[in-house]
Amino acid sequence: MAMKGSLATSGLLHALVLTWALVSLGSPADFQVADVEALPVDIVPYSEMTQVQQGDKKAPKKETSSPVPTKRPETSQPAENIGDNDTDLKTPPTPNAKPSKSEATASPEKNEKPEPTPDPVEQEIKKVEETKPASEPATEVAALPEAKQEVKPETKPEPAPAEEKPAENPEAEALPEKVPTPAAKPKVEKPAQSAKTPDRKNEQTPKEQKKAASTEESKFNADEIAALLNRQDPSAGGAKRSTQEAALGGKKTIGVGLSANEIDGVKGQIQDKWSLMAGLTGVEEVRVSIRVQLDPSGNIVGEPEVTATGGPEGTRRAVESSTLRALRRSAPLQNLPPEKYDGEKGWNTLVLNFDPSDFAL
Amino acid sequence: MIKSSFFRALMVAAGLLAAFVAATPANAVVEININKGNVEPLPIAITDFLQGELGKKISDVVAADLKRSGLFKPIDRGAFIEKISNPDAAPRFEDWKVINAQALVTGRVTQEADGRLKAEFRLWDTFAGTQMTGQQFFTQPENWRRVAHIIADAIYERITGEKGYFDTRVVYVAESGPKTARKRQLAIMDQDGANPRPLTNSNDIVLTPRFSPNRQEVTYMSFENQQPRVYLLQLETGQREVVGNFPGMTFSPRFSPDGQRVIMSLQQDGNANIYTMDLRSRTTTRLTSTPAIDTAPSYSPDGGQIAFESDRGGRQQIYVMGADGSGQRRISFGDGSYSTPVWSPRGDLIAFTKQSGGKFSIGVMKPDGSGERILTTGFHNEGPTWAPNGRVLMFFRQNAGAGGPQLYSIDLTGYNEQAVPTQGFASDPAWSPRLE
Repeated sequence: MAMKGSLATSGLLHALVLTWALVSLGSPADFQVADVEALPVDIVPYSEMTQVQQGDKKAPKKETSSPVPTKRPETSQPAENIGDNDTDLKTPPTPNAKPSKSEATASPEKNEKPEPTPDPVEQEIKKVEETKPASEPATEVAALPEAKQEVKPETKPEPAPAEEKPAENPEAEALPEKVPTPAAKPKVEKPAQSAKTPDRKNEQTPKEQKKAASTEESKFNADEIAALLNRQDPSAGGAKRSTQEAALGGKKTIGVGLSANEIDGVKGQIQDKWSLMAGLTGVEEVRVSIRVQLDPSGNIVGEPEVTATGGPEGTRRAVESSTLRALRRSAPLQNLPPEKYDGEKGWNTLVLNFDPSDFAL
Repeated sequence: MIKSSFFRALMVAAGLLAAFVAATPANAVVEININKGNVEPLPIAITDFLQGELGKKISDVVAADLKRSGLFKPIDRGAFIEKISNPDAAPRFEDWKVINAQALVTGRVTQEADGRLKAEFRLWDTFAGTQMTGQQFFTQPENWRRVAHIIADAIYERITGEKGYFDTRVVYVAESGPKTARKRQLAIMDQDGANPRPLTNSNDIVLTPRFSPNRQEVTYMSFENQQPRVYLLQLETGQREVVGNFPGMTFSPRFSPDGQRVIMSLQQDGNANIYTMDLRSRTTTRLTSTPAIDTAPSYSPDGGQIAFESDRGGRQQIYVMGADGSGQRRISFGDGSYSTPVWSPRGDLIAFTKQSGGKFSIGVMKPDGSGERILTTGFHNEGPTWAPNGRVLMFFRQNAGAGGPQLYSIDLTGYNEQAVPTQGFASDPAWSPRLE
């Protein structure tokens, strides 16, 4: 009897508690997921970063590289004022502008590159230009961004009719390709000045910077544009115009002599032959640098100079031996363009920097 | 410690960055950065040492040692093109490059007038076309195996930069007889399984033998006289003595790195604590005082710290303390129970047995407990011991359904697991230091 009573009480109390729980305990708060700002991303093909300057592949090898020389289409009627302006036009706006446009899209010689998205690149280039305009050997980088700055406030990607120029020069480099080169042209253009890039760089940079500055301050200024038009020599050229005969592609700005692809090729050949045991004591501290002379067939000439630093002595010696073995086994190195052999930036001398950290446990 | 290494890393990074930035525009030379390669054994050609049968036997042992390490790949003799007639002369390197030998070993064995054996070898870099090293040794003819191991050590060291471990021995418990009447004796052998011989010959159970770091001495535990006690055994004379006369069971003994002390666990009244005993003065020092089982102590190679196993937290885990017993702290925190910690001779890692989810694993971790890596897992694995170069581990394993345990060795990377050949079943291996 007593048991039954206590059982009943217990059951009742349990039921009460459970009912209360059911009723009063709410569901837990929703897991808050923070809103993440979507970041705009542009996919830029790797080749655009590495194909800095391509000449005409079918052109003969020359001392210096130069892109395909710009074509001289019909000289367009110089128009002093076009667009929204008060001054009468001497001539009606030339329909030449439009034909130029099609020329621009259709005719560029060896335009192998598709149009990328210029916008982000322009911004990128702008930054590049601001940081180190003069450090790159070629002028393209220096010249173009400044030119682009001009372009930017005035136009967006589409080549503006006013500033149309005939065919772009896509081979100049990756950077220019992204930019509405027609707009860029007037800036870069100083055909009289030089065909040599270094000179151009020196002479044009300050001018272009000034121009860039002034342009940015002004709004769309038809007069200015007209002035540009007037001065323009019709050309297909991009930022880097050359009056030389087309020659094979020149030294790239990335990779100091060899293109990034070619460097990757050498890197792959040597990595393929570099063997080392894993987990040597202190291997992540070791660095080996080998300076080696090559003959035009890619064979090693003489004794490579080896500098090994860091890590315990035994490990350092082991890594050093392995890197020399890797180099010797890879020789003769393949796929090195003969035209890039000579010169202080040529691959007649290579410096190979080995980092064995990957072999640590 | 963390600060200085972080600072150092920062300086290195800054230096590298500066070097790279500085190098690119100003320096005209093409620079290529190579930071990947292949982990693979080195193809090496080991020619028969001149002359005769002994020369061939020596080069066979050298080749077997190098191959077993997993870091070398001896090329089949049938592929050799050049026949070496003068091991001192420069070989025709092209013949060796063609068969992809990246290193070449030539050698000679001669008997001196006084009966001693002279063994010499040269190690050649085939692609560089130069000799890497060459040495000669004198010994008694019956020691030819040791000479072969010493030569293998020299080759190993020149190519890997690490000290070799081939001229070493392993003491272990040799098990024989049926499961119901299993006989366990101490035995010793070369690390490649050659020259096995027994050290004790009794019907008593022996366990956990350990080598002295600087003397031909082994300490171990024996159940003779029905009392588990720690003993010292002189290998050369066969003399034995009891280590300390403790009122209780002593087990799990090890030497200190200077060989002056034995550290062990003493069980009294249901709990076990760690003691050291100075072998000369016979004074004992108590290091732990917990109501738990503290056992399996192991010194760091500098003698400053001790790793041990304790179940004071409820489950067997690994702890580290100073050599005076101070600063006892737990370092194992993974899922499972950890036991048999062994400090690497390099000082950088502690090996252990881990039991988790019904499986046994051999693993390593850094002395602060981080970087835990499991090398092998299975039905049963236990009792790791380090080779003197801190690169290879030996342990024992009883496969499911097998009649008894076997010895295995494995490389620090977890690769190259090899069975160690013993005459019967074997357990509890302990690796000797390099022989002088």
